[in-house]
Amino acid sequence: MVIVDFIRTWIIDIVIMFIFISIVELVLPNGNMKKYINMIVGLLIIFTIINPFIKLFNIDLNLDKAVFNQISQQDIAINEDKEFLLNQEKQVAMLYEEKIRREIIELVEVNTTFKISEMNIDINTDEDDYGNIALLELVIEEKQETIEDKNKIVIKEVKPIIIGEKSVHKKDYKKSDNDEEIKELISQKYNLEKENILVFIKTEGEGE
Amino acid sequence: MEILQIVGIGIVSTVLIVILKNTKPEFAIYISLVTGLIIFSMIIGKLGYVIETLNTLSRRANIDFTYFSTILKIIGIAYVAEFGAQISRDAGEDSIAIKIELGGKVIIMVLAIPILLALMDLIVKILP
Repeated sequence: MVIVDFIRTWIIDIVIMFIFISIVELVLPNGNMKKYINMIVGLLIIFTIINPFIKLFNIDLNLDKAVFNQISQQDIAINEDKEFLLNQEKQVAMLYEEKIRREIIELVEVNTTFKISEMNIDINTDEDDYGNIALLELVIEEKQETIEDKNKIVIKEVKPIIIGEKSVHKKDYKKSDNDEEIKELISQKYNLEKENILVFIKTEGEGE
Repeated sequence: MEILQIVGIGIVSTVLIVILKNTKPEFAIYISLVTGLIIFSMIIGKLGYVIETLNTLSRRANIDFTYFSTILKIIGIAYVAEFGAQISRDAGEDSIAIKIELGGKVIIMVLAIPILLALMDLIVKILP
């Protein structure tokens, strides 16, 4: 039965192909172009006849993919749109960075008592270790336990405001002491040297 | 009754051209150009229907869309090239007509090359 099925689909393909070709020949303008088109139509006929045998011999070849590859190679060779490629590369890099960002946030929030408030990622663009993280700066703060505090009124300590003194945002961050845990986690996951991870802690009420 | 319109336009323009040819031969080429454009634009909708039919046919067979779009592009190129060449020929510029046809042929061959290469690949792989 398999053979009958095989022959049936094959013959249907060929018949439809020939109907298709006859319509194409009707539509074609009659001029010098005809022989060129006939040649391509001949190629298509060969394709249709050979196509079932690929499946029969179990050859791993996708004709569509092959043709598409040839077309895309040709396209790239003919009009290499540099701006487009550059744009695409940039978008891919952005996506990659965003993904790492999300992963690190999740990693830190699940495994430690801190949460990340700011992050700065530098990604290597050198040929040999492309895509690795070069430098990672984290600003973390303590997780607020909101559930317990629901019924209490939390009064934050208000810093006295001194007029005339400029407070610089960055100065309020201090190097954290208990950042070993976070560094360990990240360096394990991304195979990153510990000295390339900078962790700053942001204490509550400060830095705003 | 589109065929009557097309034939009517054709006959009217032919008569005009015959009349004008003796007095103002430079207008004859314009008239034939405009007539060609009008007739072309009239049939282009019908051509869309034929292409739609071809599309359904190709879906039913296992002809894949890549080849189908290639064939359509080739038909379009053939039409446009033929049209342009015909106009040049009417104007008595045979050499330009030949060059237009050359352009059409080269572009058709470029479109055919992916299919050709894929076929070569396939045949080489099928042979033991």
